[in-house]
Amino acid sequence: MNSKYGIQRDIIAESNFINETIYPILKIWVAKKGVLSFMTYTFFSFFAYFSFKLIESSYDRLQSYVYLIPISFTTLLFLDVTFVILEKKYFRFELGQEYITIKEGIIKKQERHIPYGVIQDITITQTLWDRVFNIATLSANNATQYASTNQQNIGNNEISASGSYADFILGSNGSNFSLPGQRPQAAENIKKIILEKMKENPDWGLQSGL
Amino acid sequence: MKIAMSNTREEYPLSTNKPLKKTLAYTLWWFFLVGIAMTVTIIVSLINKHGALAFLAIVFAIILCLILFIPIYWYQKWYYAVYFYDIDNDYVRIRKGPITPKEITIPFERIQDVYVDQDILDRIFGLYDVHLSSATATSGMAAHIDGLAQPAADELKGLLLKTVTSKMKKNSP
Repeated sequence: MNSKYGIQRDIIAESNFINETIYPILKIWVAKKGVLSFMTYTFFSFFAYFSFKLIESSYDRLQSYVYLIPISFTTLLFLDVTFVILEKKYFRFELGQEYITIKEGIIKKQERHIPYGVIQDITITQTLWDRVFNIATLSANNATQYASTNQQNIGNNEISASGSYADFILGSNGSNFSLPGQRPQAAENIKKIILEKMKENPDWGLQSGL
Repeated sequence: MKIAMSNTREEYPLSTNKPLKKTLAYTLWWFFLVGIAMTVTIIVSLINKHGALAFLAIVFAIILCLILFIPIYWYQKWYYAVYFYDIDNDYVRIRKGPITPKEITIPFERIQDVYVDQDILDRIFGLYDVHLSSATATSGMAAHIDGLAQPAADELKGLLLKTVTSKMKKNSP
């Protein structure tokens, strides 16, 4: 039997089992992050090199240290990519009956439970690079979007044009749930499942302020 | 360009003035930026007694703004074409952005605020923006349907308020 969104009811009923094994963060997301890091560090390397060259007096003094530029470039790129790979590896989520469970963290481990009742809206976003790699980010947002400033959100190096950080953070931010690196159709499916869950788990204490 | 139609957009259509208004807004911004650059150029040219250079700067500024108008208008037509909004019994869904699309879905029970506004260019073109927001900052930025003519804006606002109210009554203990 299909729901109004065309999702099979039995899938929704079994959505306790919907997790990162069914909707994994794609490897292409890691590739995208790697490409972005590569471009950023390439830019800064050239910038550093030409800055040395432009200041000729400094260049004479500093040219023996120019080799530090490619070494820094390689090290930072390696660290960045390793970090993203580990971040992906240690990320777990599960769409349960009453809340979304998120487990994350490489060294500092976190487990969060976000009740469906507190989710206010759901966004699906694609940046320019997401379009290139054909991926999208799903975010289930609640009212405490910027509340958790003391959290270490690894991977938080992209900011959308609107200034919203939440769209690109892997895992949780406050009580938000952000899931990047999904195919657009998969993001749409997850959105529909969460909307169904929100309907099944209303929290009327947070209903309309009108 | 193929219009991203939905039942809601058919019933409460965007005004065809919307691309023109947005184009004018962006072009005016470019006029402002180019104007500053050209003013500096003209002052420097006149101080150095290069009157011909100042004249060339003015001509260049005008041509640049006219050239910018065309791609901006084309982009706004594209933006207008892919602008999607749909309202069903439970949710409001708004998707916009031809290159970097962003879609937001808000359940009626979570709507905190519905309001209509007009900026100065909207008043010139007779356009209205219908905003709705949940308790998140994201919705404040993404959840609005802008560029409606007055009847469509009024009816859409009425529909949203009526649906939210009926949901509240239905779910209140």
